[in-house]
Amino acid sequence: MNITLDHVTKKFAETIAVNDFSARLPSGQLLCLLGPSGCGKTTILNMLSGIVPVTAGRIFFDDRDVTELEPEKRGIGLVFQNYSLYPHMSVLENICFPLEIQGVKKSERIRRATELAEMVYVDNLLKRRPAQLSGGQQQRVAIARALVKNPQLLLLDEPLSNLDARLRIEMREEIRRIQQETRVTTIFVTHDQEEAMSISDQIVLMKDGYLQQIAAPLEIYRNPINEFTADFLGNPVINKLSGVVRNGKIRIDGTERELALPTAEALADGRKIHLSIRAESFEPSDERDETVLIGSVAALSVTGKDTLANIRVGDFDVRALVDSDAELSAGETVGLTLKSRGVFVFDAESGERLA
Amino acid sequence: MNLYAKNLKNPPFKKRIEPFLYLLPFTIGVAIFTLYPIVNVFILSFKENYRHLTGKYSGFGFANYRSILKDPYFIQAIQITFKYVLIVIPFAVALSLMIANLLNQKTKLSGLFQTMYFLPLITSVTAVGLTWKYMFNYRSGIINFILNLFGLNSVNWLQDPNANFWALCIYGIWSMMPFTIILLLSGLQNIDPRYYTAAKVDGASSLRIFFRITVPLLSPTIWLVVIINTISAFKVFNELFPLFAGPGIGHNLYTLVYYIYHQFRGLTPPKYGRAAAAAIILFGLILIFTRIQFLIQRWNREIHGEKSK
Ligand SMILES: Nc1ncnc2c1ncn2[C@@H]1O[C@H](COP(=O)(O)OP(=O)(O)OP(=O)(O)O)[C@@H](O)[C@H]1O
Ligand SMILES: [Mg+2]
Repeated sequence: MNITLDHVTKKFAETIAVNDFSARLPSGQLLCLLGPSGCGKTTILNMLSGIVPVTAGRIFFDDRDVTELEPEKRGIGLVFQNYSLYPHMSVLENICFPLEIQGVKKSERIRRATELAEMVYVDNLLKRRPAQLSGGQQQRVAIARALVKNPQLLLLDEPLSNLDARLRIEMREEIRRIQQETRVTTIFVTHDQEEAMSISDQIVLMKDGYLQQIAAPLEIYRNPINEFTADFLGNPVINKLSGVVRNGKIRIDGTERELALPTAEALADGRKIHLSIRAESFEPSDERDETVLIGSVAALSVTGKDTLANIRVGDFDVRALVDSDAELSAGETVGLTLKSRGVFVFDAESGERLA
Repeated sequence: MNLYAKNLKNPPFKKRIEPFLYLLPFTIGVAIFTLYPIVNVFILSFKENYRHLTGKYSGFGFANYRSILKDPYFIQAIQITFKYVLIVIPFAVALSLMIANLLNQKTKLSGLFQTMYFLPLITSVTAVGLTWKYMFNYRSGIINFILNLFGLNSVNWLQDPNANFWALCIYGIWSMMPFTIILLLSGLQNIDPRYYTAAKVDGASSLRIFFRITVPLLSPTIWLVVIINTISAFKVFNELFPLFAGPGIGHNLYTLVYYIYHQFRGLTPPKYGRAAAAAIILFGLILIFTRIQFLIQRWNREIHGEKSK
């Protein structure tokens, strides 16, 4: 089911939680709604499910305008952050409950619930109560309960945030698997960029109620639309060097020389910019011409094939992931050329992408 | 480490008695004003031919118990009290549950409702009793007025021996409700609203949500109010005075506590031993009754699979 949000806005008393949000979310995909805490992810989810009414704008499921439709008529499966399994019901009863409401026959209910329990590997726990399950098991039951009525859209609000690090990785693969088996359009909320990068078909990135970018993980990583997007995605965090444009070249604060960057040639003189470079976009070089950044190595940590080098460039500490074969040593002055990928220029004030 | 562990197991004497010293003042109070009278009543109930003024008695035995168990008034008192408990508790709890559930819904009028239902709790018992007396009035009471509106005949609530028990029940239910509602409301407010949201997204009607989610999740509180109210209903006594100024028409509202009261207030010479024996029987009945409810509650919790701690 395609989902279209058309200029959707949500105002609470003071705050504008979601601001003029327009997007078309394609059918059958696993979409991650990503953004820092408080940016309006839960609000978007609640508007899609109909729990929270929109202040302005329309929501469409395929061609159907569902803006005013009650939650139960939208055909949605919802998984809450804390799962919200009914504590007084067994796993089986929990999974059956949505069907019970629909008036499905008891034998049919149990058949369907068992089928789903098998899919999420909780079929051996059907008699237990939620309190007797581990976090990961509760999670699976919650997904089964959301899927049992064959929803057109599955919404998961930070479903992994209560789990420990290992289980998170395991469960996110699991969600990916379940989504691919069922092919149900799924929106998965998270504020963990790594989680979003690793499982989603598309990332919907938000900030302060505004949509920033919708793109596939690799695309959004390689081609961020603005500075926030570049900063938010990637580990280690992208290096940010502020500087000024001088004759189509960049003077980084605290350095005495200009850096020639082919993409920055057209920029106006005197413009303050941020040069953002991903850690893996540096390459040690013996050259010392204008295309090379020069810095001194402050610290090194070898991780194996790669070495994470802390390099002082002007006023900035740069983290560079370089090939361990480069054999840098602390204190040494190095030249770094920039690869074409993973180097961006943003306006220092607006964060707008310039190159 | 070892030394420390040993110290924990075997603390010095001073450390060991310290907590008891903190408990002492409270314990003394409870001992003098609660424990001593209870023990005394218990002993008194076995003293035969007890003379209040001299404190003399002929010996210990079951004479008091034998005599009250043969007393038709006592048997009647037990019957009336049981009937009262069995009628008042279900109605009071069910009505309170409905109202608490309404109050818990954030509607525009909920502030008004809250005031309305909690008013009885802060108004004087006498004033309230008198108000009810007027409401039950045969000629000018509002209850009969409403009955007449629906085409029903007036009931002589306070003077008709067939009706006055029901007047007592209505008054009892009504006076039980505010506190019950407060407890249930606080229980309701402890239920995570996400359960309701989850059920609503699945399209559950409010009736289904109430019976399948609210009531089961509230059951610990429901059992608590059932037990508390049962204990207080067994002791029905105060309610008799504002409405009937006594145990009804021809003693037809003669409750257990009224019986106890009557043994040492209404008789000359007062029968302290029989009053004590009746009090012990009442105590036993309450104990058995609440124990049964407690067992039902635990059984209920076990079928719901919660770990009993
Ligand atoms: N019911 C509400 N009343 C008032 N303000 C609200 C309400 N719900 C959310 N907000 C505000 O709207 C903004 C977005 O909230 P939302 O819950 O959607 O954030 P989120 O992206 O889900 O954050 P998190 O990652 O912390 O869950 C926040 O500033 C929040 O304070
Ligand atoms: Mg949220």
